[in-house]
Amino acid sequence: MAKERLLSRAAERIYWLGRYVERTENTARLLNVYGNLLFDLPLKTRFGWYTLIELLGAGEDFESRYSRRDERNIVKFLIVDRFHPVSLGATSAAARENARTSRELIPAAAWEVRDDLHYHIRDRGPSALARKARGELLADVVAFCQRLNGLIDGTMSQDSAFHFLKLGQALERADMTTRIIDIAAATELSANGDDTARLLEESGGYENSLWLSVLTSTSATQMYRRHFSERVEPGDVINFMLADEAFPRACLSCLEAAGRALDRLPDGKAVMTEVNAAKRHLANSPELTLENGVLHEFIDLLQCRLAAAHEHVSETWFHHPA
Amino acid sequence: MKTEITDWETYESGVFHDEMMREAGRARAPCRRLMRQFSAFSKEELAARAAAAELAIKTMGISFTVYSDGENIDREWPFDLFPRVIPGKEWDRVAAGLKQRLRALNLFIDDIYNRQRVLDDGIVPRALIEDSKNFRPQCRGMHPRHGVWAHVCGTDLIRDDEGRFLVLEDNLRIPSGVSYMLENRKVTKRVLPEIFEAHSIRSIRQYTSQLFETLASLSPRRRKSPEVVVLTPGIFNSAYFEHAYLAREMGAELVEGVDLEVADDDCVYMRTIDGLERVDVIYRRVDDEFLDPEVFNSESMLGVPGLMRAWRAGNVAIANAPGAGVADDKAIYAYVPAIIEYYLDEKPILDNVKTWLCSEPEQCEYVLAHLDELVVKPVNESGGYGLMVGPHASERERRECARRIREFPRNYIAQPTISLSTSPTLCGDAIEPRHIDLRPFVLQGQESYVTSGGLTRVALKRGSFVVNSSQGGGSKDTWIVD
Repeated sequence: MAKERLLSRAAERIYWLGRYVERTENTARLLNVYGNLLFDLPLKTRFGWYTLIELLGAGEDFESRYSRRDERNIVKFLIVDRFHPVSLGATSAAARENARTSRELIPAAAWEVRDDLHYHIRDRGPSALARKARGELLADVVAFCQRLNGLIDGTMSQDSAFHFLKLGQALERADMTTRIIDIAAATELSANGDDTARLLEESGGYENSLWLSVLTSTSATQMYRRHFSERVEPGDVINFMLADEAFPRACLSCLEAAGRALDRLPDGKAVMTEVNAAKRHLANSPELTLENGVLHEFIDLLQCRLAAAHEHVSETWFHHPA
Repeated sequence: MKTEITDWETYESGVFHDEMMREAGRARAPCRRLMRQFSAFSKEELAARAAAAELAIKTMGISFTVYSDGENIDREWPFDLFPRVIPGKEWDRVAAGLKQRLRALNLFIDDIYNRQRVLDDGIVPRALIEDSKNFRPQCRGMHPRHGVWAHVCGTDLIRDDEGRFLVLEDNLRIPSGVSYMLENRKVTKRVLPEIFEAHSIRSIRQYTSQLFETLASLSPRRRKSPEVVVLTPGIFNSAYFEHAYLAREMGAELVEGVDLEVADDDCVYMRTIDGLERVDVIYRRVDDEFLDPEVFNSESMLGVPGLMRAWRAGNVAIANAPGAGVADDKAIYAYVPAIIEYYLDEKPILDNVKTWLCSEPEQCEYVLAHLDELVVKPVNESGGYGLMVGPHASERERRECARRIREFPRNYIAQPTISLSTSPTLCGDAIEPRHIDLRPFVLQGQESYVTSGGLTRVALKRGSFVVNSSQGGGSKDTWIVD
């Protein structure tokens, strides 16, 4: 067989394709679940849609454009706005641009699904600002992304390009899972000790719906119950989502996937070191609970490791001209 | 002959030469079978075939890119079902003429950048070269391999009212369209298999291997398989489809400027995940001005700093060579017949369209006096930009044009309003005459090759001469038939 060659730029584009597709899917999942979660909460709770903006680290971009933090603005920001890098419209357009230049590398059918996803969001996004149409669009987006992943797993040779795509996907997914946990914890902690807490108490089962949403947003509920615990307890959910080895959206499992991709790529040592460090960090974690206040710090460190892994990926393979 | 799809008795191409019909109701000999076969189609059948062609183009992903609203839109390639037929014997003469022309043009370019005999001997005015936007002093003294500068040429041909092929333009810089020629053929084979089979049509599929052979023959390193890359400006370029297509078909890497670097040894390398790999031949689809920011446009992000240094050191071949465009200046065009006689001592096989040079005072006076019947073209533009079509222009446009000619006579040439031949074309559910041109592709390296036929472009609007795909033009499969 002829030696496979992969340009650094092609590797970079396909790595970002993996990341952007994953980001699109996760954002759609979050929007969907968050909408449902808010239905379950008493109307007067003081947190709301803006939490999503914080979760995605897009506060500045949002403030620069909108003054009112209401549902309509936030959903518009997260679905259709293209001027910042977070919305579905933006991530899917970015994924498409990366796919256009990786056309020779990924199966044609996958490429077409990628294109369909882009047009679907572009054409249907504006009407999805109304709740009625939103759920359907978001479910469509998740389904498109799953179909794309299925085509890639089922019809793409497991060459370097494939492993770069998987690496991007794994790092993005790990990062997103940590964000979801972080924000859920922050939401709950911020609710303690004020009126909101009392309201929550009265509405009953709030804690449960919050952490159930975390599971639902990652399609983890069923697997959590089957393999981990019957009851939805914050501590259990946190440990499952961060340190489970078997569930593919759990952080540790994502790191294992990144490691498998790295094994097949040349000179992946520096990246592997970071990924291993992140894995050790997870393995040595104390029993993570909300009470002892170390969770945020723990996640912060984990995110730093993930960011460092990304830096090393870029330095090792993408060879940006000086 | 009257059939369901058209009444050939009333098919009327006016004064123009028609590719198929000799006179009303009578097809030329090589086209008779084609006419019979198409006439046997019902309206429904014809529509079904056209729909099949459209679907094939979609599933084969044949597209061109339009950039609008800050977004790339891939449009499906416009294709007309009705093929254009050219008799083999006639084509052999045209092909010989095209090779002759490119051979002479390459001798001319090599001379211009070296001894300049052609200027000393007064065949071409020296001022024409020195004023040319496409003359690159940075290329003086270079001797590319085989003495060839323009390795890939896309020559635009038209037929006049008598049916003679004339050269309208030599495109020696980065001509495009060949991928569409190849894809059009695939579509026809799919959609009209029984008609295709009934003719003896010369194959065109050798093009990509001939292109690879041509490029490989330029390699500075003697290797069994030299490293050939296709350099593209990137996805925003309207011809990106073609760049990717040719790279894939040749098994060459498709690179952008950022993928390449020139190291301290003055060699060109591409950046891969395994490190740097040396490049031997660059088939560039980037304009001269953007090739090397150290030498040309320093703002260019598309090029490779140091590329000209590597080329001048003989460490990399660039096709077409930088500076080759000096010979596709429209003012030089008028001298090509003389250039052929000067270097080859042969009569030109293919004629030019009659051309007046505004740089020559007498000819300039004639042009100014006949603006209402001439087409005035700027000498350095391509793609139909900056044209003034006398008969269709307003009085004001003509005055403005005259002003510009007086100001910069060197920048303009004029030609009679060209007449493009017509070909039967599917318009709605009927077949009507539409104007066409032809772009064959000529290769020159160690060997030289001409495509059997080329890309036929068709102006889909009735009476229009505008064949550009970006402006509503379409294309046809072109059959050289024996």
